[in-house]
Amino acid sequence: MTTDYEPKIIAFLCNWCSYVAADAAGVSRFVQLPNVRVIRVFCSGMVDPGYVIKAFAEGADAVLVAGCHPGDCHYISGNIKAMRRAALLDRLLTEMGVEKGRFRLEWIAASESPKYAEVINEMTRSVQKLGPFRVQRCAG
Amino acid sequence: MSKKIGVYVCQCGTNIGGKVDVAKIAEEIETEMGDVVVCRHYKYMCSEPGQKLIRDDIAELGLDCVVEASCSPKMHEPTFKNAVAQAGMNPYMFEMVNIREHCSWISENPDLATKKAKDLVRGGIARVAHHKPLTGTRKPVTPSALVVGGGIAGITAALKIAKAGYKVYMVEKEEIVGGRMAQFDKTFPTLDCAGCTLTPKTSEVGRHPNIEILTKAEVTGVSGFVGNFTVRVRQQPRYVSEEKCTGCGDCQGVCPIDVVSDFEVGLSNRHPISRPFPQAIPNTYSIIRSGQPPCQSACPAGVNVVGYMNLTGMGKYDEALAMVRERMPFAASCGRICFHPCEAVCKRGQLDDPLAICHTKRFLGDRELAMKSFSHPPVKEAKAEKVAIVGAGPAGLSAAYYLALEGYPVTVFEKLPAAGGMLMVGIPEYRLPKEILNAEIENLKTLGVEIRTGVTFGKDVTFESLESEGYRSFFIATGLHKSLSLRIEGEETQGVIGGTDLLRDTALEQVKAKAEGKEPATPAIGKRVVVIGGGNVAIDCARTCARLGAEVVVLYRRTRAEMPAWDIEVDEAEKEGVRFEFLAAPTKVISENGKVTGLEYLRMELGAPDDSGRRRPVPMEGSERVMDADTVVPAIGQAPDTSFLEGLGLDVERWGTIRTEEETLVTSRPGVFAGGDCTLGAASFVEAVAHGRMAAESIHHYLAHGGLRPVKPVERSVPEELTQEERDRARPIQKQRMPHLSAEKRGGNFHEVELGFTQEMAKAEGERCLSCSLCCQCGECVKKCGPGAIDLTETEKIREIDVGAIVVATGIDIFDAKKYPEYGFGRYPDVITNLQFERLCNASGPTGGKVLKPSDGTVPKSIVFVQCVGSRDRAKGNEYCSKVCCMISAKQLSIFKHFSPDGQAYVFYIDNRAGGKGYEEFLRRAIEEDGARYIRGRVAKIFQERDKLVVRGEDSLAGVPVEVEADMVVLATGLTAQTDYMTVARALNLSTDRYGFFIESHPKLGPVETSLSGIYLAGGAQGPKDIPESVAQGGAAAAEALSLFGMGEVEVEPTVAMVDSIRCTGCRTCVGLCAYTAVSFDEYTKTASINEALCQGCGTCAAACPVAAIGVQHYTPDQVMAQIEGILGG
Repeated sequence: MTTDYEPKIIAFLCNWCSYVAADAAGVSRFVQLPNVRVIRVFCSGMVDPGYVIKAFAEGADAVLVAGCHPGDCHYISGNIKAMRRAALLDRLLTEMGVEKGRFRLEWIAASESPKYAEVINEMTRSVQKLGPFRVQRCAG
Repeated sequence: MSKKIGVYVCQCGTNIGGKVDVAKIAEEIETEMGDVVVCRHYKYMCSEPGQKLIRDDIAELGLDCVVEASCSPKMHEPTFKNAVAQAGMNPYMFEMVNIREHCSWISENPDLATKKAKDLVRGGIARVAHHKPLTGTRKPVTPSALVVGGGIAGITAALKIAKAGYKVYMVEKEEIVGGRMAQFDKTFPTLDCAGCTLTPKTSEVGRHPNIEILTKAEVTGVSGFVGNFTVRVRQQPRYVSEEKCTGCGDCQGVCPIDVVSDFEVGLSNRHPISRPFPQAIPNTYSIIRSGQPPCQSACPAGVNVVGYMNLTGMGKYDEALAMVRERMPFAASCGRICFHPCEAVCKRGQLDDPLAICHTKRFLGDRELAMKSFSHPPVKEAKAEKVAIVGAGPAGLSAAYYLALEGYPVTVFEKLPAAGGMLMVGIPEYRLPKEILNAEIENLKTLGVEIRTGVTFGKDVTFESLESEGYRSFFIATGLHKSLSLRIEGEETQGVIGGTDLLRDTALEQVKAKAEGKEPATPAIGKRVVVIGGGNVAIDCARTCARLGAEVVVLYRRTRAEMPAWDIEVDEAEKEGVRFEFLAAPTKVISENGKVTGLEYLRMELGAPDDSGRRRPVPMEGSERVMDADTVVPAIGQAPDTSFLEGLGLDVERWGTIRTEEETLVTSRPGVFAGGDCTLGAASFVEAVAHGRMAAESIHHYLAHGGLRPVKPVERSVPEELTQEERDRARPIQKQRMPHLSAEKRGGNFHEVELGFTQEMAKAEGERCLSCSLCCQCGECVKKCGPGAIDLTETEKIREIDVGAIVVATGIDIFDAKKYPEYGFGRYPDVITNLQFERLCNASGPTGGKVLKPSDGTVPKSIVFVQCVGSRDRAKGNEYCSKVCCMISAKQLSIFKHFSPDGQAYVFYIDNRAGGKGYEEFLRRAIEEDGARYIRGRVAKIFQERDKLVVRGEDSLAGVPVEVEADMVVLATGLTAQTDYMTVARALNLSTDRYGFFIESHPKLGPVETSLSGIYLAGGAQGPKDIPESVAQGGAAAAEALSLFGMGEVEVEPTVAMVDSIRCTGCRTCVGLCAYTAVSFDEYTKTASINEALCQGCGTCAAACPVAAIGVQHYTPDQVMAQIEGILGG
């Protein structure tokens, strides 16, 4: 795929699963599009919705939050809280003019490095299609 | 105040430097970012000179913080934290940026990789400026270890840790320890007996006081951190007590089930109760059961169908009936009228036809009734507390049966003149003869159950009157006897008779006439009857009226496909002359002089599906027609008699049913339980029986112990999909067909239509059972076991175990040779895998150690070994070398030559890999002394020609195609990851490579560590390896665990949540979120407060705080926000 547009995607990865999967994807040399900037967090439940909004405000074109599968949370249930928050945040972001597809929550276990690479590539391509993120100002 | 920041970018040789222009980054960062006082790049920052660069800069330039951009922090963060600490800097003033795993290794374009790396570095710099010096705390290590997997690697690790004086929990999936090695015969290159070297180790594990073996167990989750893990283990029952079992083996002799033995790799069968080999540890028998079979799960009463079907198959009819009666007192009745959901899910149905379970049960019941006997478990000691049951239907009578067996004096009060409830007055005679039902009810009376008919509860007797008579508990099971009304004009006309009323009147008349020795009077129906409805009651009404000589039409608003009535019932009705009018709904009853003369109805068409998934009928405007009729029978459903309920003082549901707790059937009134249709709405006979039994248990618990009985755990289910093994196990017997009374013999009488199975038919059905649950819990072994060691009621256990270290040694699986269909494995019996060959050589194996052809048991004269089956083959997805197969084949051909000196072995190989001490010499001997012919090349095809197998391949050295005739072919199957590797990986948060092998922390220097500190790897789970390597890794993993225990303490990072009490508004949002109850509300300060000892640092509270008053130290909002700004600001 050839495109001049290189989106910037911020990925908040859980230290115990998705971050390990990202490391393992690197060790396995699973080629990924170079658009994702990883921020390590202890738990997907640690991601304050404010961080996501901040990322968009600072010019990110998309934000990914990845955590452990439901039931597998290193901290019992932080991922479930992340899931509930994400549902709410999704609506808020829509209201704020962030199109669907720019914010995503994924479950990626430590053992799922191929999935991690797939998510990164697939998300990057779909954000490329959406084009650069511009804040749409609401009238009034 | 700005901080002095030092930035160091590592080239990691070419690992980073080959893709990312580190010099450019260093140069730009130094000029662009104000706080950065120094930015260097170096070839290997983790090397001593690299670390020295940092230390010197800290000393000379007075750096406040350091950013290191290199590999993953999981790799070298401790190295660098240590380096800065040596130079006197607080290690939390350090930040690591991952530009290798997350950047250079995965990027293709160097420019974009460099840009990405620079963004990441900028993020790290922005973040580190907000770091604060922190100090970790120290926490004691729990000095015990969990070893997952009881193969030779796990055994080695466990013994070493145990011998050092620490407790070890060994979790093993199978019923014995020993792993793959227990299956082997001899080991290369010394031809030592594998068993002789292994069994001393397994025995030692078995008797070591510090080792606790948990067999049939799996790890389902882990929490905590290095030195302080809590592991969740799920353990399936062994069903045989390890303390009581003497290993005599009597149980095996009586087990009716034969299943393929996994231990013997399919070469022979085993019973579900067995011990794989005589020296097995634990050295006791155990039972394999794959779960609750679908038939039993589907049965509302939970009857052990597989158990009684197998007993019937064995000809043990009395035992089979006893098994039915454990949960279903009325076998003969149930066998006639049950809607048998068991048969719909029977796994045999995926092969040919499901078992005729219901008909077989009827045979068992009928057989006993014909013998005029009644067997039941012994009645327990008589109890004083009297129990009153209201309603003598299936629910009430079942409760009476089980309570009577418990020894309670039971009285059943029935409003109608006859007992039996809907069985008596709802099910017509031709489906369930009254004689059969009465015989089963009479049986109950022999247990001392008193049935008082013609007594109306609420009128003749009340709670109060019965309490004063000494009744201590009540079971209300009054059923559902009122017909739902049609709500159409003219419904009150004479000649409109409710479906349940029609059936009841007919039945009661038959009972009365029989008692008086007269012919029953014909109920008041006319010559032309219209039945409205599509359920079984409608069909029962139609077939009843047809027998009484009427012309019958059934009006149903949907089509035949949507009818809730059973197909067989509809078919039989049609045979008996009943006509069906589909897509028609009644609108008005037409009458003359107060008598029905016809029914107006409307044509319907099917619209969109409704909530039940059936397409909703929609009326077609103006399609009204009139049908002649003198009797109209609405049979569209039943309702409870609410008038009676009102006076009881029990809570009722919206639909007028009694409100109960689902699991215990307790009502709103203490000591009063309710069940059956009056709580469920219109349900089925078998559900009513299930309720009866449930109520009996609840009442017994209430009277004996007070309070409500605990709810029992549900057994896991047998996998739904039919397996190949089950297909192979199925006996080739056809489904038995129920003989019927011919249609012409049915008119004008109520003779039973279904004639019943013969003994041969029932036995044949029993033999058709696949026993998909493996153990069928028939209980034959329980009766045989002298020491009483077998308990089939055991359930799975969940345990939580605290350990400091975890060793994962889950081992390997064997490549499935069927993935090479051209080799004919599974098709030709003499094409076997090398693991099967091990069992053939093994003295405790199926041939007693003789190398014999599985097809005919003769000694093979020639054997071809085919190498690399599932190894080094990209097309099959396994590119790696399995490492041991070359040596295994050399060993096996050598064993073959010793067994059969005239034999000839051939080996098709790709490369001979014999790297290991004494390996090459051993292989050489196989070629030179044992005369094996090694042919270099892949095998293309194996096929049978007369009595020989022909192996066609290529001799790639000579460049010619070759064909070798053989009596036996051994496929050197590769080693693969365990099929359930993902379950283990998910439970322990381990990462795996693309083949499913667990990834070690460093391929060279951390071969047994993982990315999670405190969790170690050993053996084949990490990658294919032979026994000595597995043992070495087991020892290494033990050493890791022991060094941890030796330290005694681990540093716990100070990354806990902190509350800014000035910002905190005391909203308490955080309090309820904490999974560790570490957050509480301080009543004095009116702010949130964190218990640092409990806090795990997950940050869920921080993310939820509306005023950002909580932050996890080292992951504060300031730090993360700065990192975002830094990354995106470039």
